[in-house]
Amino acid sequence: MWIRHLTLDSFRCHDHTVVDFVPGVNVIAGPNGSGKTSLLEAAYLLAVGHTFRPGDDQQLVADGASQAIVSGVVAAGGRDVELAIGLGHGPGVGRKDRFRVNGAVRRSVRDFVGHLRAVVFSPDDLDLVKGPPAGRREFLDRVAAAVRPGHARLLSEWERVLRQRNSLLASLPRGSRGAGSEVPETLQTWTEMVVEKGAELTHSRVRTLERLERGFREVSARLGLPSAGVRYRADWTARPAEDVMTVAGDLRDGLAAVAVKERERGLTLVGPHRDDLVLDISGRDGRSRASQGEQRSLALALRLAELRVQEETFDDMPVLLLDDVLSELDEGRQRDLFELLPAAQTLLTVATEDPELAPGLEKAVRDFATRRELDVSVLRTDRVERA
Amino acid sequence: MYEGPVQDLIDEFGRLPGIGPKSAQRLVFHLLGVERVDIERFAHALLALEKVGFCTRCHNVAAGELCRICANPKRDPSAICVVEEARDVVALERTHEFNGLYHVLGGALSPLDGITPERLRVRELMERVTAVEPNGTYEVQEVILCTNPTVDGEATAAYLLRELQTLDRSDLAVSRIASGLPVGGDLEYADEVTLGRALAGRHSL
Repeated sequence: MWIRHLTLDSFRCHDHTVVDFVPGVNVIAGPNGSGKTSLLEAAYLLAVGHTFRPGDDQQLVADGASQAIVSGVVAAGGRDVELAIGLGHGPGVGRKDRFRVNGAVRRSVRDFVGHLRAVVFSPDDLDLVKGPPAGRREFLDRVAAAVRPGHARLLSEWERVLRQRNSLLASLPRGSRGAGSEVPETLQTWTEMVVEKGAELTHSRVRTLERLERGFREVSARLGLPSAGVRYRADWTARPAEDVMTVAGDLRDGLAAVAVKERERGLTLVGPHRDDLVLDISGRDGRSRASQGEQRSLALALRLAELRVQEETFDDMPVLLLDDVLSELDEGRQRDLFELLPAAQTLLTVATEDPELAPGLEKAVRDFATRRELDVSVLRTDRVERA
Repeated sequence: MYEGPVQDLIDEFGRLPGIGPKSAQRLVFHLLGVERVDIERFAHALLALEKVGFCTRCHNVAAGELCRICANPKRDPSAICVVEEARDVVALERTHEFNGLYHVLGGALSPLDGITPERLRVRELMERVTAVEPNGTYEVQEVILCTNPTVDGEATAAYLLRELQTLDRSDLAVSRIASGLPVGGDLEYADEVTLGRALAGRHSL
């Protein structure tokens, strides 16, 4: 699949920008602050319904405007699909008509996503390795949601039961601490719900990770880290890959073991909301005991593994969004990355003040395009038509 | 702000669910333009709501002491279908598949909204199930839990099942409404969770 064109209205620094792409490699070059990343962000928005950069939706709307609209035409499976998403407030941009597919309103983001698939490589990916577990859980859940149709709903059900149980725990009197105080019948009910949904969610995550791991091992070996590994860590079970009933049993036991503490804290202390993806290189923790260069390779390997899973699952390639990653990588890793990228539409941003690309970079891009039989188009954001 | 009565009515409409200030204004200005008989009919319909209460047995909406279903001698009093809201009774009645009686809980368990079992008509359900007839037998033989297949509805059903099992009535049949594929739908369009649950809840032929 590929993006024919994107239209950005009042989005970030774009008042009104229309960009045409080729199905091959699209180099988006320009100085900092000229709106390169915003173009990738717009593409990503149409793919998943939210941005890959931090902040709320209102920040995406250009200063002085009340609403932003991003739209685009995606060619996939022999037909064109027009996608549009509205942000902020204004006519035609309510909470219920934000998403449109071929002009028709889609009520929820779940009905909107899937028409365009994209994998993003960004300098922020380093946070996947170095950052807190929440980012890695989100990564896994997003990959799972893309390739397992029920995962998104499972996740929202899990979040609901967790909030319900936490709310109940917080409402219980804390003065009468310990096992002696009365445990309401409903706590047992919500505990069972947490066990059921938590086990199902864990199962779905682990199944997804098994698929990710295959690609990860292969790719990290090519990136010079043959002993790199990734596994799912849950403090409450040593066997998250077992069947759902077994995992549920472990979660039930785990919750029972902290029951008293939970009453004191008013919080669910055990479950998939605290799990993590552990990255390691020959047993060394990738988060704390790997070099910066190794961490970059691990992040790259995770993204490439995500790409592999998408390749296996769907007939056509997702769109690759490479946001200024080349500046972060040394020449060897740049070459490795290009060798591992498949033949897919690629949107690649390059920060440069010069009118010409650096010769080394130019060559790397041309070689990649030639090898994969892709066209190359170079677009300058400082020269894009802005009506 | 408009003249007293107009603004009052706008405010009243504005309190209704799903009606914002703009819609409320539109409704009132529409009413200002309609015939007097139409206004009177509308007003009568509203005032008649005063006489509507809740069925003392099943807590469905009722014009008298008992709702139309509980008052109907042709219905089978040995089966009770437990639902969250009175709206659900109407939905189930449209199926013409169930000839028993209902029990309206008045919502589903939700600690986030402060909905505890005490806020629902759980105690009343237990009283109905344990009520003994003059000949010493139990009237209610079967309870069907028809709360919504949402997280809150599932939790409510699980809670009720536990409570019913503590009643010392091993003869009582308790079941849960099936969840799965919509009739007329295609397998290929069903998501994994729905399909998985439909498969888990399959029945032999």
